[in-house]
Amino acid sequence: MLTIFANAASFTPPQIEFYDLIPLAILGFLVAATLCLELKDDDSPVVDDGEVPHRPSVLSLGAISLVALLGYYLSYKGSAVGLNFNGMLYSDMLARGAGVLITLCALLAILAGPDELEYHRNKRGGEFCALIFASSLGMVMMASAANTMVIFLGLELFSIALYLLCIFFPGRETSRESGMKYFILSSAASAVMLYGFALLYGATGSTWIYEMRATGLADTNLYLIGMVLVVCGLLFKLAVAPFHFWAPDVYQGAPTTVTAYMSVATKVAALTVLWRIVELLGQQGPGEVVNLVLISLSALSILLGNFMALAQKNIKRMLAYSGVANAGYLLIAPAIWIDMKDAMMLFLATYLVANVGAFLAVAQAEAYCGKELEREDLRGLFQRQPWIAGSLALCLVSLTGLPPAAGFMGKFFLFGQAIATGRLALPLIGIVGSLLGAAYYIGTAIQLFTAPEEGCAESQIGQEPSTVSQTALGICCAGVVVLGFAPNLFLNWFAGGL
Amino acid sequence: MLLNLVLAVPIFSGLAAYLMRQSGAKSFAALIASVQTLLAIYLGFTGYPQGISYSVEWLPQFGLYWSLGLDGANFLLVLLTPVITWLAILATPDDTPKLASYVASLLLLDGFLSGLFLSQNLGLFYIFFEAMLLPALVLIAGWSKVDAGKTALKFLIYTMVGSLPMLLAVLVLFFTGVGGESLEFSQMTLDPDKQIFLFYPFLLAFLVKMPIFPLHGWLPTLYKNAPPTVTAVIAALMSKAGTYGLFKVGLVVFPDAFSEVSSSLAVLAVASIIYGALTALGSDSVREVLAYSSLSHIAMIAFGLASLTINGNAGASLQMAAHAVATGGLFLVVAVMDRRHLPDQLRRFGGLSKHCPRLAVLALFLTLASLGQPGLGSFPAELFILTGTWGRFSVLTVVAASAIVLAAAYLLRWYQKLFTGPEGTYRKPDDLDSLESFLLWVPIALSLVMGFFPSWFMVPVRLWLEGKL
Repeated sequence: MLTIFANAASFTPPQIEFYDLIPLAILGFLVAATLCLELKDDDSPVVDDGEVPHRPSVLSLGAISLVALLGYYLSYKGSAVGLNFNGMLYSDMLARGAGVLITLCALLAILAGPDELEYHRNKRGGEFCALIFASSLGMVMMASAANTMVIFLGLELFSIALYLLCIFFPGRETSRESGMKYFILSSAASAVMLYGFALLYGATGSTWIYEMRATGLADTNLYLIGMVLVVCGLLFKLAVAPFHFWAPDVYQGAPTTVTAYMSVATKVAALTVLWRIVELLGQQGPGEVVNLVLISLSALSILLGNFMALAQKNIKRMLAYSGVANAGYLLIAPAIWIDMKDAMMLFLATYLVANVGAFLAVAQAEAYCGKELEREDLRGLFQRQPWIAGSLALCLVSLTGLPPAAGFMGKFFLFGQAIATGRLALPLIGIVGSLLGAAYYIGTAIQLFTAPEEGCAESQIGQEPSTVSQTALGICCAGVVVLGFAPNLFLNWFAGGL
Repeated sequence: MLLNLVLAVPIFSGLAAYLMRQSGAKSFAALIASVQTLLAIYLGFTGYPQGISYSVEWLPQFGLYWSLGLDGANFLLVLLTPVITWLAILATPDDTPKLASYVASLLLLDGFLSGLFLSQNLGLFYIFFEAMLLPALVLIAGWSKVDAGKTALKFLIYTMVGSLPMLLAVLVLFFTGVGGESLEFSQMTLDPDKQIFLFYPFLLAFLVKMPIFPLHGWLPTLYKNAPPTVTAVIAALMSKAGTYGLFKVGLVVFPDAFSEVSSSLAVLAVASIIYGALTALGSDSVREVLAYSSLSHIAMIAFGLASLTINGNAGASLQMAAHAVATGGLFLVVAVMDRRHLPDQLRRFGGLSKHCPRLAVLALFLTLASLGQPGLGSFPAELFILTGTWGRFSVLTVVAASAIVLAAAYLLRWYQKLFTGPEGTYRKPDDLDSLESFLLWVPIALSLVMGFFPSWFMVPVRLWLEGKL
C-alpha cells in the first residue's frame, strides 16, 4: 500500500495543452457525429429515377465547425510548448500552417461535394462528409506528429478514407480503377515507409523523430536505408516523379471534388513530415544523400510533370500531371538547406486555392456538360457559363504563376528564397517548367474564351452549380486574388500570429 | 495619390464592365477612358516638366514597393494610353458579340499598360508586364475571326519565352542583393561587371515584345487575325512596353551593360528596319503591310535608343508617341474598313476613294504621319534619332535613312492600291459617318501637334536624360 503511494508521489502527469488538441477533437467529433447521424442501412448508393438525392444534414454542422476551426487556427498566436501530449505531437507553426490548409481543403470539399453527388445521382452524402472528416483528421495528425507511430497512424487513417473516397462511385469503371489502384500502390508505399520506420528504430532505438539523429550511431548504413525508405514513402504520397504513376489514373477516376481535396491536402501533410525529417537530418552524412535525392527528383518532377501535362487531352489528367510538376516545385524547399518553411507554406497556400479552385470549376463544368471533359470541350464555355469559366481561367492563371494571381507570389518567394542561397539550378528548372506550364494552363484558359464551334457548350443545358458549391469556388477565387495582392497576410500569420 | 487613380479607374471599371449589360458597356467604357485621359492630362500639366511620384510600402520582403511616378521617360505614353484605348473603344462595332467583355478587357489592358508605364519599381514593372498579357489574350482568343486559339497561344509562347528569364533576373537582382536593398528604380545600383548577364534576359523580353527581327514570329499572325481595334492597341501601346522597357530599365538599371550591347543592338535594329520594309513592300495583305511597317518603325526606335545620345534617345521617346498615334490611326482605318466587310487582299482593292472620299483623305494623312512627312509627329522624331545615331554609327545611319525612302514606297503603294486606280472587286461601301471621321481626326490632330511643337514634348525627356547619358 505504501509503495503505491510512494509511486504516486513521484508520478508526474504528462504535460498536455488541451487547447492545442482542439483541432483533433473537432475533427474526431465530426467523424463520429456524421457517422451517427447519416449512416443508413441501404443497399443501393444511387437514387431511383425522378428522385433528387437529399443534401447531407451534417453539411451545415460540418461547415460551421470547420470555419470555427479555421478561426481557431488563424487566431493562434504561437504556443509556449513546441511539443505536446508527452512529446507525441508538435504544436508549432508548421503544424498550424498545415492544419489550416488541410481544414480549408476539407471545408471546400464538403461544400462542393454534394453537387457532384447529385450529378451522379448518389445519395451517400453523409458518408462522403464522414470520410472527408476522417481523412482530414488523419492528415492533421500526421502533420503534427512527432513520433513515427503517430505519423503512421495518421497516414493510414487518411489513406483508408481516401481509398473509399476514390471508389465513391462504384458504378463507374474509372472510379473503381481509381480506388483499386490507389489502394494497392499506396498500401505498398505505406509498407515501405513502415519498414523504414522499423529500420530507424533499429538503428537509433527511438520512435521519436526528433531523437533520431545520425550522430554517434554504430550503424549509419541501417539509418541511411531507413531514412531513404521513409522519404520514398513520403514522396509517393506527394506524387513526385518517379513515384507518380498512380496519380493520373487515380485523379482522373476519383470524384472530381475528391481529387481537388486529395491533390492538395495529401501534399500538405506529407510535405510537413518531409520538412521535419530534412530538418532533423542536417547537412552531413545521410543528410547529403537524401538531399541529392530531393534535388534530382525535384528537377525530374518539374520537367516530367510539365512535359506530360502538355501532352494530355483529358483535363483532369492534365491537372494530375500539373500536380506532379507542382510537387517538384514544392520539393525545392526541403532540397535547399536554409529555413524556407515560410516560402514552402506560402506556395502551398497559393497552390491550394488555385488547384482546388481549378478542380472545383472542372467539377461544375462536368455537371454542366454532362460528361468527362477533354480540353477541347471547354471551348466557348465563357459564353455559356461565365462564372465557371472565369473562375477556372483565374485559377489556371494562378497555377501558371502569372501576376497578379496568387501563384505568382508563391513562385516569386519560393524561387527567390532558393536563389538567395546561391543555388540557381533548381529555380532555373522551375522557370523552364513554368514556361511549359504556361503552354497548357493558359492554352486551356484560351479555349474557354474562344467562340464555341462544337463541344459541350453547344449541348443541352446541364446541371447548374448550386449556391453552396459556387461559394466554395468563390472562396478559392477570393483566395487567389487576396494572396496575389497581400501574401504578407499569410506570411505574417505564419511568422507568429495575425 | 492621383497617380493611383490613373490605373485604378480603368482596372476597377474594367472589372465592373464584365458584369454590365451589352448596350451600356461601350459608352461606360468610353466615359471611363475619357476620365482617365483628363486625369492623365491634369497630372501631365501639374507635373510638367520634372514629374511627380508616389510610393508606399507594399511587400518589402519581396522587394516590392507600390511606387508610381510620372517622369520624362513615360510622360507621353501615360498621356497616350487612355487616348488610344478611348479611340479603340469607340471604334468597336456595336454588333460585336459579348461587347461588354470586349470593352472591359480593353479597359483592363489600358489599366495594366498605364501601370507598366508609371511603375518605378522593377518588380511592379514586371508584374504589369505580365499582367497585361491576360486581357490581351482574352481579346485575341475571344474575338479573332480565324485561328483564335492558335494566334493567342503563339503570342503567349513568344512573350513568355522572353519574360520568364526576366523573372529569373528580377529574382537574382533582389534575393542575392546584387541589385541593392529593394527593387526600386531609384535605389538600384549594380556592379558594372555583373550587369551584362542580368541584362540579357531583360533585353530578350523587350525585343520579343517590340518585336525585332528575328523574334517577330507572333507579329504577322496576330496583326492579321486579331480584331483591328485590338491590333490598334497592341501595335500602338503594347509594343511600346518593349521599347519603353529598354529605355527605362536599360538606362536606369543597366547603363553599362546597355552601352556594351548597344552596337550589336544597333545592327539588329537596322537589319530589322530593312527586313520590315522589304517584307511590307512585297506583301499583298492590308494588315500585313501595316504589321511589317510597324516592325520597321519600332526598330527605328530601338536604333535611336541604341545610340545612347541625348538626341537619339529623346527622338526615340518622341517616336514612341508619334508611332503610337500613327499606327493606332492606321489600324483604326482598318477597323472602319472591317466594319464595311472589305477584303484583306490588296489586289482586290482599288478606287476606294470614289466611294469613301473622307476615308481617303484621312487615311492619306495617317499614311503620311506614319512615313515621316514634315509637319507630322514622326518627322522630328526620326530626324532626332538619325542626328543622334550619326555620331556613333554613321554607316548604319545611312542605311536606316534610306529605309525611310522604302517606308514611303511601301506605305504609298499600300495607299495607292487601296484608294486609287481602277475599281476593285468588293462590295461598294458607304463613306465614313461623323463619329468615324472624328475618330480618325484625333490621331491626325495629335500627330500635327507633335509635328509642329516637338520641343514642348521633348523638354521632360531631355531633362530626365540629363545625367544618365
